[in-house]
Amino acid sequence: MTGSKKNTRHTASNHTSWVQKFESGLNGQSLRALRQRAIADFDRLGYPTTADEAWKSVNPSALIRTDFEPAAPASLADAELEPFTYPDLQGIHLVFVNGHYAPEHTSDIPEGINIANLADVYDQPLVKAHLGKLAQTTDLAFTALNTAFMRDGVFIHVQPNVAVETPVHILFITTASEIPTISHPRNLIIADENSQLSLVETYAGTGTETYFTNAVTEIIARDNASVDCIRLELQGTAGLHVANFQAQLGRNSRMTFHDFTLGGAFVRNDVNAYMRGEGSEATVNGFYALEGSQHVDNYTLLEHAEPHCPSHELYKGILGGSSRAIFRGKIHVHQKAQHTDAYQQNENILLSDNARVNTKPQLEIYADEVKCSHGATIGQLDENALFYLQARGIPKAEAKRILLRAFADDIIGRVTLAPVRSHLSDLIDTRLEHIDAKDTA
Amino acid sequence: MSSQARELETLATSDYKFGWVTDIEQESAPPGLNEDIIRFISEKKNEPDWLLEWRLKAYRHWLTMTDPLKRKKSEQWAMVTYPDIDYQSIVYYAAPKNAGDGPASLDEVDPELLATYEKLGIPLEEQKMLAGVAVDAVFDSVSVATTFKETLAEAGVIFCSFSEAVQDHPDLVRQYLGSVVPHTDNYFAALNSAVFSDGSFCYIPKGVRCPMELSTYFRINAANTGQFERTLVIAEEGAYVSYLEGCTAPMRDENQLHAAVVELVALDNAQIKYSTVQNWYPGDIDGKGGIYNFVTKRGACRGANSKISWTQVETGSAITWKYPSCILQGDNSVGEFYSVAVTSLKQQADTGTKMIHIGKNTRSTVISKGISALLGQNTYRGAVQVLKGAHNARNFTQCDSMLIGDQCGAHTFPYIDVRNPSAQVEHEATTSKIGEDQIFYCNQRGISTEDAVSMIVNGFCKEVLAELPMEFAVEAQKLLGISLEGSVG
Repeated sequence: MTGSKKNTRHTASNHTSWVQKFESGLNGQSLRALRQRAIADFDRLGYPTTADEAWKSVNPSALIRTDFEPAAPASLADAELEPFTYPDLQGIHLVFVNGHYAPEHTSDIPEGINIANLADVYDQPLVKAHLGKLAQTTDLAFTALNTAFMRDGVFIHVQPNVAVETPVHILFITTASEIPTISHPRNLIIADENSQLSLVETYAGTGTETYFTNAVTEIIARDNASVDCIRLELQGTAGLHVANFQAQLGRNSRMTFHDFTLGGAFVRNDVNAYMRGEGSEATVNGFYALEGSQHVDNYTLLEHAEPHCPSHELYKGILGGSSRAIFRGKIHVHQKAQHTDAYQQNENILLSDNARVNTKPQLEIYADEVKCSHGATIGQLDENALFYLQARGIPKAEAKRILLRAFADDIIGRVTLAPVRSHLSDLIDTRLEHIDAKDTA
Repeated sequence: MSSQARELETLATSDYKFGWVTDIEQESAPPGLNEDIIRFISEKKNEPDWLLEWRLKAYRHWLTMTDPLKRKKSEQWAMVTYPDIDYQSIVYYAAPKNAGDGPASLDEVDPELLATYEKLGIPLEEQKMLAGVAVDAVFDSVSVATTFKETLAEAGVIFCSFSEAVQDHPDLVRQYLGSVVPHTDNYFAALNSAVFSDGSFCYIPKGVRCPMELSTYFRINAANTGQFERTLVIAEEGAYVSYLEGCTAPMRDENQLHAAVVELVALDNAQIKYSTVQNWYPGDIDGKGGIYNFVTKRGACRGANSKISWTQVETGSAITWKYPSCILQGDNSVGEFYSVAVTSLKQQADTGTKMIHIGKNTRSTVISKGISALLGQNTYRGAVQVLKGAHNARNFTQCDSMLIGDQCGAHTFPYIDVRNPSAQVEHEATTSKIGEDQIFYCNQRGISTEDAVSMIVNGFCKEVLAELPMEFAVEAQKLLGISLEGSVG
């Protein structure tokens, strides 16, 4: 019902009334104007097509053709969540099941940090001031849908001069359901001046049926703040995942973002780091290991609006089966952003005849005192390295795995949270064995 | 800052060195585009029915297409902006009046015309003796004189204007016309297919190495005209040809449209080397006037072991929109693209290449150097596609940009699509500027800033300039110097 049916069958007035009906089921209507604007934007934009430059070579039809119902709340036992948590991670945990906040799983929250379910704090001035400001709905159809139908999600405010030592782990999980369901998780994170926060987002699904998670996360890192984000995509085999991650960086702040995509049938990630303060630094890295007919699309934008901002971007991928990976990254250097130092790289290894990679690393530069470069490679494992290992008595299959693992380690090794890193490491090992076995079989 | 303002001013007021107008009586069609105009052009050129039909088919298809500017914003990809083009105000056919029957030899060519070419530095007669370059000069829409025809004929090479080829070699034209760039390809190619007025035709028979470099010189002279030329180069099995193309246009306040199509066909073991030096009028510092250079260039490596190499030096035009491409169909075929694009003043360039790997063991190299100065916007846009059957395909792409001044832009948009696991594709790009320390170092050794810039820029472009034939390399180096005059304060 939530505007996820073929748009030809629906009229704009229909959509508006749906939003009103949806809203009346919530407590409070303080977001009415925002929701109305979003649905109007969605009606104007329509679903993206392959003719759109931002969706070129992507086939979003799976997202559009299916009739989705809003996902219903469900309760899960701790044991059911276990596969998606990190055993040694001593953190603050929040769980959302089918897009609904599950407070029973929330752990204790230390001082200096406000954490709440977004739906409970719509009226807070900070939320009112920032929600929907970074994730604009004017040209992103799915973000518009999220904004119109958003409900639960995480709101975090780290107070000035507070370094939150315990990492925050947010788990969005979708349970098995016979009919295709949709949820619109929405997160707003504000790290105030001189604060520090470490965040882990996990998106997962337990079933094998089709469902759609359409998530939006907005992060504001104020002056001198430091924010580390890790995102794990472990959606179910038929899961559809569209996520928009928008971060804004204040003066001398820093933000790191690491994305690991292993699950999902269709994944689209928009990641946007907007360096709005002088001397801010953004790091955006990603890794994907795909099999079967998985389709992963990473669309990133590192926007340098002020001078003296370094940015680093590295995405790596391993593709088996008939999987498809798309990488589109852009470094945009404004005229004012002199002394920018930006680097962007995308590397891919194709393991099977039917896998396909599209990559488009882009530079858009309007300042002259800059150091910007990018690169992209698509290839296979290095024959010489393989031979070197084999010559030392390591069987070929094992040697291949070592090299693939080394390729992945470049990104895994950058994750600073040890419990997450070691868990990730195991997950990726299993995945690589799986891909490799399938493609050599 | 004041010195920069002064430089800007001198530059704005300094003359485009090729901006004179030749005073020749023109015979032209009334402005506007409709089926009658197409019939008029076709009749003027005494074309066979099939060609008229082909033109009309292209025109009817063009009518169904959307102007790239009028597409939805989210579907527009080119980094260029320009006001709407009124296709009904363009003159689609303009010919110097006394060229009606075509000159039989150089002596019959209007002396004014010859003087024009003198000014451009391509004296036809002198070249005939010294350079050994056969020139097909296209003035507005009609090919004026072709030198060295006899010498070429002895080798079996056909090199003539497109109109002549339609009369004398209709079968060849019919076989290859539109086979690389179909009339449905894009908006401007469709327009060209409907109204093309002339161009060059070149056929190198089996096993022949063309004894000399072939050259075409284009010039837009008449006001309100568009130039829609069409070039077709066919290299039969084992043939080799090096083809050069140069362009200029007079200074005018209004914009002029140039929508050309170039098709190259290389069969087994054939090689085509196609070099362009483009110096159309770029407009002034306020963006007034200048040529819209919307060109479709594509080569098909149809045969095994064939090779097509594009080299371009683009210094002119208000807007350049051009992607010389290679379809690497034959096994072991090779595609190359070497490009220098300069945008100064208010110029915009969106240029690059497409390498489509279809055959086995196909290789491609792309070297692109973009230089932006003053208010110029320079974009490299290139596609590398490796299709499923293209085993062991290999591509290497390098795009370097240089920014001179803080008002300009340099952009890189590569599109890479790989569907074969044995392919190896690499892309790298860098952006840099001319360092003050470099200039200082040169100044200290008694080299003026202007010369230092020219030296550094020429060094930056060396890999591309080295690919140009000798005569062009010299001209290109000079052009780079002229285009960037006054851009460093």
